[in-house]
Amino acid sequence: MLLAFLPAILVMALCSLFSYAASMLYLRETDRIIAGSTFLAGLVENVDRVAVSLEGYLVTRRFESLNAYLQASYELRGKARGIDRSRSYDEGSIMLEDLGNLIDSYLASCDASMNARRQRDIPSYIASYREAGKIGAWIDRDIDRYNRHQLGEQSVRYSRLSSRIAAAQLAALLLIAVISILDLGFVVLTSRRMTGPIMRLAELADRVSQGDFDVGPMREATGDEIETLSGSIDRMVANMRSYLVELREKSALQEKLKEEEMRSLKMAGLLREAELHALQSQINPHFIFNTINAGVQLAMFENASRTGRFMDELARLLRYNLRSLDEDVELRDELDNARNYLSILGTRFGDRVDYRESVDEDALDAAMPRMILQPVLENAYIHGIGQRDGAGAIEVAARREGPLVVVTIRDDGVGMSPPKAAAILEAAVPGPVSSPRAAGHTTGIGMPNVASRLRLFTGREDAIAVESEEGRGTTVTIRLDRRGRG
Amino acid sequence: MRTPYSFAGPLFLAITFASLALFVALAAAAFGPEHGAAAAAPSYHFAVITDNEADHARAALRRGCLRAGSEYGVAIEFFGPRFTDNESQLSWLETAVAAKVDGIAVQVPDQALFAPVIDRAVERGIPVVTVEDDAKDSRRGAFVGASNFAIGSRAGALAASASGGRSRIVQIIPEELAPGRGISSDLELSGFREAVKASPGMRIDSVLYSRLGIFSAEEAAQDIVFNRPSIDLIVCYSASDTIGVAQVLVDYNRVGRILVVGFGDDPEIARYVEKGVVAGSVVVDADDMGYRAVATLVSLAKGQRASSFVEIGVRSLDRAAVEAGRDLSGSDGKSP
Repeated sequence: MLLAFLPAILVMALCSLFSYAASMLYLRETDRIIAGSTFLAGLVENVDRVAVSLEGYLVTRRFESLNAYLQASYELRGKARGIDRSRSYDEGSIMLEDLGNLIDSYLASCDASMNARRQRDIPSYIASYREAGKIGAWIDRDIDRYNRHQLGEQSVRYSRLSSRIAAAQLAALLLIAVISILDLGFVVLTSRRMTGPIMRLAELADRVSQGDFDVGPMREATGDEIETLSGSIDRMVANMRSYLVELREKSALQEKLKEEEMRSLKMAGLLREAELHALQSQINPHFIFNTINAGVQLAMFENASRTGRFMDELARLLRYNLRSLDEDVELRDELDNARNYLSILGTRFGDRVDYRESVDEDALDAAMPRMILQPVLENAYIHGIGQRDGAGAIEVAARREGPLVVVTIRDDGVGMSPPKAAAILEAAVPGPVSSPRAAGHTTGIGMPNVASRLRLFTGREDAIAVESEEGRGTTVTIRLDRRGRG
Repeated sequence: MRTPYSFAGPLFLAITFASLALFVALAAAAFGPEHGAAAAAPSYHFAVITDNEADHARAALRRGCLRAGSEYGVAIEFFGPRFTDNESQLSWLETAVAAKVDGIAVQVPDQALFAPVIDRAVERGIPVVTVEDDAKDSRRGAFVGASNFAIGSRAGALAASASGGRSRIVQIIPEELAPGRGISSDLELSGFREAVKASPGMRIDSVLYSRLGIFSAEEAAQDIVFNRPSIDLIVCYSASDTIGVAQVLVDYNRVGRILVVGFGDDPEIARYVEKGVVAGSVVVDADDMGYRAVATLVSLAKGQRASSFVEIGVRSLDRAAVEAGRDLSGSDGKSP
């Protein structure tokens, strides 16, 4: 930027210098003229003084007059010697040469007159004096001529000088004008270059502020701060865009989590309701429990050991059933309860069921919700084996498969069609209890309830699956994490 | 200044330097020494002293002197009264002597008056040549000029051819050439007489002497027009007389009735010749005269011998010559 104005500043400075030099030149010329005319005026005065002193001596013949004459002529001779008599073609120089020679002649005549006077050669001194007078007049004339010539010469020179200087000044002014125009153009160009990107930046910032992040990068390659600014704005917009996307994903996830929570809350509500219904529809279980315990003690008093054991099993089943559904248990507990339940069923209905268990030791401590196996076994017993002629078999197996513990409950009952098997887990209308309230059900907990609780617990959609075929029995597969909740 | 402005840096630097250079050139043009011919110093300094400095022929004489001056290395100084004034002219001659010039060329209007000063100059070792008009009895080194006899006979020839050999003639001679004071009027008249001798019809009525340049000749012409009807040819021996007489003839409508034979080649005379007011004019080449005067002075100053009479040729200016001369002046631009 500064560089652009350098020529203009420089030329302007030079211009003022130029004017200064011009005025100095004028002054010098004037000085020269004045000095020249001063010298010549002094010369005329000196010639006069020589004439006057010579006249004084010629008239009085006094020593003082002679002295004055000698002094005046000495001075004049000195001045005459100071005149530049170098030969030249220049008219003025020729006149000066003449002047010097005329003064020499004048002094010679004066001296001749003085000497003749001293020798009392009267005719000779008068002739020489006259001659000197004439030469004095010619000196005056020559000086006049020289002055006139110089004046003409100087005025010519002066006018030529001033016209040259005027022309040069005009050219300098033109130069300034041209450079100023160039500078102006440069300034306009530069400000355009500067304001253009800034205006685009402002527009972009406006759009961004209105939430439109879908703006292309600016990429102002101006090579200055604007480029830096536009680059950082580009980066900022890109950052904001990616941040926004991340935010949206996060909120979608949160939404999903919330939904799930709602579902589980709903489920918990349903369970509570089921419990409530159970409480309302049954006698206080604790009363029954204590009553059964009393029955156990009574059987022991009467040595009815089978009755006592049956009653004890019943009491244990009741106790397990009465505990809160929210309480998680291990597979081991569920299996104990399952055996207890089947033993009661065996006592009630005779050994219609052949119960087999094959469980890996290290699968026993897998965590799971309570009251999962009992409803499944109940289902197998009532709908599988119960509707079949003769005895049936139920097999419960648990084994480890990688991080999972897979529990299968297989019966060889009547089975069902695959669509039905698929539908059995999904409650069409989630009601408080499973729809057919068939005999033999201990709880109101149906398969949909079991399925949703398992899925909620493990966080897996495949936590429970039902495979079945009509006449070939049914297999329920439960997948648990080996340890704890999923 | 980075990428987009990278052109600007060098550009403005270039402009800066260009303007600086231009400025230096300007300053040099304004303040530098004026270029002129710085010739070597002249080896001589001559004075040329003439009458009537404004004369056309004098200008030609000066040109010739300067031409010789630049050729021989001589600084030439011209002295002379503004109008014809013998006393003043003499004082200039004396001034030149007192100023110790190296040589003097002087046109002598009055022999008696000038001869002693010329002698004194020669005594002081200053060579002197007389120009145009001689001072025969002085100690001048040489005379450079036309022979008056030649001038007279040329005028006679012009008069005879213009009048067809039959006319009554009045001759007007400048006073400085009058017998007794001047030098050569006798020669001019005898030259004229010689030239017209062959034509018996040419009769010389009288000889008049003009004094105050143009005015005196005018008076004489007026007298002839009004009082002397028999006169039909006037011969003049100076440029100013020629112009004066021609003017009178034009004013009184006597052109064609009275013929004029003039002297000189002033532009005005050339115009009169072209218009037929002046039948013809005798011309001495003043430029050549000036040149030869300086050349002669140079030889004298060097101590060489020089011919005491350097004759300058005489030619006649008639209408044909004027027309030819115009073409000539167009090409060499010397004569106006």
